[in-house]
Amino acid sequence: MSNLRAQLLDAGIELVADHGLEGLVPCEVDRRAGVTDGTTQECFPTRQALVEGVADRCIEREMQMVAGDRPEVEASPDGVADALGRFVLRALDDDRSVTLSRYVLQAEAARTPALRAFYGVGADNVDTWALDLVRRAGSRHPERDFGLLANYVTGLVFHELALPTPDLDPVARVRDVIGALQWSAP
Amino acid sequence: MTDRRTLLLDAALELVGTQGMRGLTHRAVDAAAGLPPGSTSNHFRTREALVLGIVERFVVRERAMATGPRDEVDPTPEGVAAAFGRFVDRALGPDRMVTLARYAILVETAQHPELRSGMASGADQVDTWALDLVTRAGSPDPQRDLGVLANYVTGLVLHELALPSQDLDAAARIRSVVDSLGWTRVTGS
Repeated sequence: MSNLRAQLLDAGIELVADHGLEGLVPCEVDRRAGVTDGTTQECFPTRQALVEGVADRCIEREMQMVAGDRPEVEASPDGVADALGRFVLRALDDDRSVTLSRYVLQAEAARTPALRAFYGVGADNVDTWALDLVRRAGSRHPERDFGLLANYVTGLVFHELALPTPDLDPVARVRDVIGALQWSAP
Repeated sequence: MTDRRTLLLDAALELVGTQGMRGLTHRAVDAAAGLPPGSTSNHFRTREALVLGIVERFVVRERAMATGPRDEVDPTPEGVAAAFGRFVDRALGPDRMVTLARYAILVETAQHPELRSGMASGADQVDTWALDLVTRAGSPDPQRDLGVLANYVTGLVLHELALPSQDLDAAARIRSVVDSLGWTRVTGS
């Protein structure tokens, strides 16, 4: 993704988080991104292209939230707990706007089948990568355990966003769940 | 028989689910409930009071989604899986509007922390009930396991809403989560 596209879409994410999808207006994106009027309209000629661009960028940023600055997550229970815990912290703090935008888009996807199909492609990419990681970290039931962890993390972020636990330690929480799943070194 | 306050709150829930928070006005709730103008204002003076009323109503609606008409759950792994499975099926099907309204309210709560206390007391009521159930069903670590199940169910609904699986068997999925947690059957008494 080019820098300009990313810059515009990040501004779009913030607008959706603050004002819902109706806040996603090209001229507002220009203003928030600090670029010349008309730039967003030029890059994303239709509303559909802009909404899909924002959804796509949310997935890309979520990948970054899991992997952090390191390109590789260590394939061990601690490595997975660390990566998912870091994801939770970022989702609640620095990347809060990505999280909020995602709920807005998710509700929209439930009403608009065209967006749903698109969102599916991105979600599949995340799944393949994470499934492999969980397997290498010692899970004997990668499908089940990945499903469990992915849903657990999503639910944790969802609950913590509305009702924050003081001094939440998400790495320890995720590690605790993995402990119950009894992974063993491959 | 449903009282007028409940009727208004269910209409408000439906409105928020269909249109998001911007659809929530006192006048729109009157119309959706089929009641005379001013009915909603009589029960809920401010928009905040109305939102808190909806949050309160979630507790009752969500519990009914889990227990079904019998209003009780067998304290066994099968009973817990069936209850949470029923919750997922209803959250994605007949009570879809409750689910969508919940997302909208969540975003609103994240933006307006003054709504948190109402949300917290609702969450406490649900937790007390569910913690007791999970304990009686044989969990060795009820706090952890309720966290796992509650977060799992929320995540599953969120994912399935956008990307439905063909022939989802939610109860079976939840059963496999329960099985992975090593519950032991409580015997006697």
